[in-house]
Amino acid sequence: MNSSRWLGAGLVLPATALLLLLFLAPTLLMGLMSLRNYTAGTGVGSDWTIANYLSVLTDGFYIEIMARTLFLGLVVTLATLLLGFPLALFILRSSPAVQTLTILLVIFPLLCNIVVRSFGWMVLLSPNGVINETLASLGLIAEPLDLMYNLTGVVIGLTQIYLPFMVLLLVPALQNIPADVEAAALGLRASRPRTFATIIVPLALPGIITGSILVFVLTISALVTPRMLGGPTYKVMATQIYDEFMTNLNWPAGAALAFILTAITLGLIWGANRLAARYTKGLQA
Amino acid sequence: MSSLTIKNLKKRYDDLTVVNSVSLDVAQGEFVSLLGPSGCGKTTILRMIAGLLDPSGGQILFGETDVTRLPPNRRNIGLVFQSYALFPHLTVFENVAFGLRRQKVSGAELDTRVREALERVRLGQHGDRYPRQLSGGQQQRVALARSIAPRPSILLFDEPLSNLDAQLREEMQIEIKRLQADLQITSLFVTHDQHEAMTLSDRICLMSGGDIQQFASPEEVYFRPANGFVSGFVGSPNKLQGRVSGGRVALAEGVMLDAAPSMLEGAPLTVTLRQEDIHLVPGATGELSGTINLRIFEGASVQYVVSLGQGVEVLARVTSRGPLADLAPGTQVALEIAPDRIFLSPAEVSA
Amino acid sequence: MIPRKPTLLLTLFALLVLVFMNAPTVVVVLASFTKTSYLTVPPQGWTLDWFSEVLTDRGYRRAISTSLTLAAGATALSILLGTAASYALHHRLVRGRDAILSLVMAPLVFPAVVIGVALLQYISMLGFRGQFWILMLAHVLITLPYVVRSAMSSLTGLNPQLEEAAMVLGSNRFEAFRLVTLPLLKPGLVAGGIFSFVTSLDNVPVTIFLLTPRQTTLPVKIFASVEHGVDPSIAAASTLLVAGTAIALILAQKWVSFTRFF
Repeated sequence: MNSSRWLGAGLVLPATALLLLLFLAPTLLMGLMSLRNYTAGTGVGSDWTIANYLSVLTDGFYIEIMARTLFLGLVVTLATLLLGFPLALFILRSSPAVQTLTILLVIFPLLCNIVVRSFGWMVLLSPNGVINETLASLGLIAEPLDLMYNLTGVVIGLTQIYLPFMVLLLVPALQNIPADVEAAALGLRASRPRTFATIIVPLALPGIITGSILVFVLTISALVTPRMLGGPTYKVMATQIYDEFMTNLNWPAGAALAFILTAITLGLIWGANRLAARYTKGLQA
Repeated sequence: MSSLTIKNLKKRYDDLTVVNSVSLDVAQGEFVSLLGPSGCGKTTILRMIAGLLDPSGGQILFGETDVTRLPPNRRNIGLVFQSYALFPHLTVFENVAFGLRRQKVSGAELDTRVREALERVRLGQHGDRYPRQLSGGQQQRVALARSIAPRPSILLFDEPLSNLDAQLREEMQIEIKRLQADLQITSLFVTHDQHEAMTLSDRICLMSGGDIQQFASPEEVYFRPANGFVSGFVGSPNKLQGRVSGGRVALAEGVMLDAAPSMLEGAPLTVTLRQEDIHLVPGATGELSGTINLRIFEGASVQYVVSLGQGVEVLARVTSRGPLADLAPGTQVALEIAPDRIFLSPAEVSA
Repeated sequence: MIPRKPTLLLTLFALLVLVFMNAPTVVVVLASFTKTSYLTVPPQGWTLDWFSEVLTDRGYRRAISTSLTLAAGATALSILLGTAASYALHHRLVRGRDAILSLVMAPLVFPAVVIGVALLQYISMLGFRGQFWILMLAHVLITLPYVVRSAMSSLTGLNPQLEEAAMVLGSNRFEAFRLVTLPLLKPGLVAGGIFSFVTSLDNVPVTIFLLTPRQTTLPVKIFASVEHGVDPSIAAASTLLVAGTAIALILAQKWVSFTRFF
């Protein structure tokens, strides 16, 4: 149309083209790949099939991996909530100086490399790691505890890694609760715990939902930590996708698994947004 | 410096008409205000003159030159914004120098012209400061200096004083008036404040609903409003609902106004009466009389709420040093209103 | 919430959680100074040998330089593309503003590993596998949302009349942007840039699929080394990454509060 339209088109073109060519196109291509047949030995075929999805959704091997991934997501989400909520409360109730320091201590690990942090957990949790050595030298255990290459290690690692997100979302959610509402409840002779359960938690719910979904989604798509702390035998969806593509070279199966993971992720985010929106609307009305 | 002419200027958004074929002219060196309520199209006209908005139709001429399709940077105008719009990352000096630098003015001449502009707004000492270090009034003066430094052919003001408090606003009005008189720049001033428009302007262009209602001198607009809208917008009016009755106007049963409506018998109409046009005669009874309900002292003036009976009330305003300044509530008064001070218009459809 | 002092119990709990959150990093940093040839905390003796080993090792040096080149290149491109797009989107110079914005933000909600495998498959098919520029563009993909988010919020905070004032004073659109908008966007862009740099420097789940056997980045090298057994040089390499992040964090603090990124 006029010159400003041309200018606008020129300005968004590079970014849009990048996204279309290196994000949308690959994703669509993977969608097609997930519908191709696969024969061990010969590789990707040229027939269309939904067998990959069927096998992923019916094969006990994959079902176990998916169930384990979702269970892991649930446990890590609960753990971050249980650890994060009190920490968020502490941040809100501290003096400004303590507050700044605490927030810094929450953000610093967030920005530290996930590989580094997972490696740190290996140093701490391995059979001859810091924790086992300390406990042994104190005479508390005779045999080293199995803290790694199992659910425990992965949960500990992922909880630590995603806890900052939870805390940083809970702090504003709690902060936005008007003091008047809490005072009103206390004024109406509700006890502190009752006020907490019936006023604070429901009002912080949008923040709790957002934080929980974020942690859940990040956990089920985590690759590095489950691989480092879970080892090659403790499989989750992301590590299995990695293996299908890099080791088994069964790309159609990997693509199907990747699509299922994406569908769960996007579905949850979409659902959470709607839920949070509805809840917030109810609060405002 | 040049005159400004607008011919049939239009602005439409889909089926919403904001400016409806407006024509006006501002003579060289003249100061004209575009006055009207928000949404009347005055700011839209200003933005089209500045080149910040494309007209849907019509022409804009600076002198003889058609600038309708020129981009803003090639129109050589000054524009003073309501938000001042000073560049926060530049010093006062650099803010004022901005337009000059775009004209490739440099060195000693740049320095002289920036100082000159700053002196004009009495901020010669503040060149090194940043805008945030200045008060609101000082910031607006910098904005003024910035807009005049490049010697624009036309100066536009977009409600520049509405962010200032009352006292500062009056000082700035005088400042702008003096500056414009000194420089003789053709100026167009957009405002919703009638006092501001009266104080500053050679002529006022009163707008409503995208149309010009009256374009005349302040005196003309005040004393001879062209229609009910103008009389209702200028001064402090009473707006009353009435009905044509026996060739006169009935505000209520038995409350009659001495005016000659041109509408049909029984037609509803809106009566606009300026508060200062209502003359009170204490103790007298006349065709239109009532009792004083409330007295409000306002400083320079005193306002009365006069009850005419049947639930009709009007506001009257008198000077606080005059003989009528001390009427106690309950006083019986007759109301005298010159027939040419009564403005009748067809009843407004209630929105 | 009613302002209230934290109870002793709450303080103790918070302290434990903070220790939990920072323990792995502290442990890695401590372990990198040990004189022993195996990892141990607290370190036995203090030495910088492991750092000099990492910094003189050809593999590590190449990984570090690859990581830095990648992060710097991706950040520069992200700022360029992101600022241009944000400007056009903010001023509504294009149709489909919401669609474009969602597209640019999409890599933020997609599982990183899925982006990685999708790209792997796509570029293998196009025959670009192992090209460094593809890897860099992939990093632009995942860092762009941070720059755009930051630039958009900075633009929203700007008085739109500033650019108009500049234009009326004789600048064309580009000059108005360069002389007025850009200087005022700088804090936001720097913050977005630092965040994008850290994101790129950290990335494994996309990078790992796009590397050739000969090239590697620092985090991927650490990740791969761990599978072959751990020694203090890995801790030293990790400490270097932590130090880099800490410097970025301190720089970012100077410009903006970056809690708004979450």
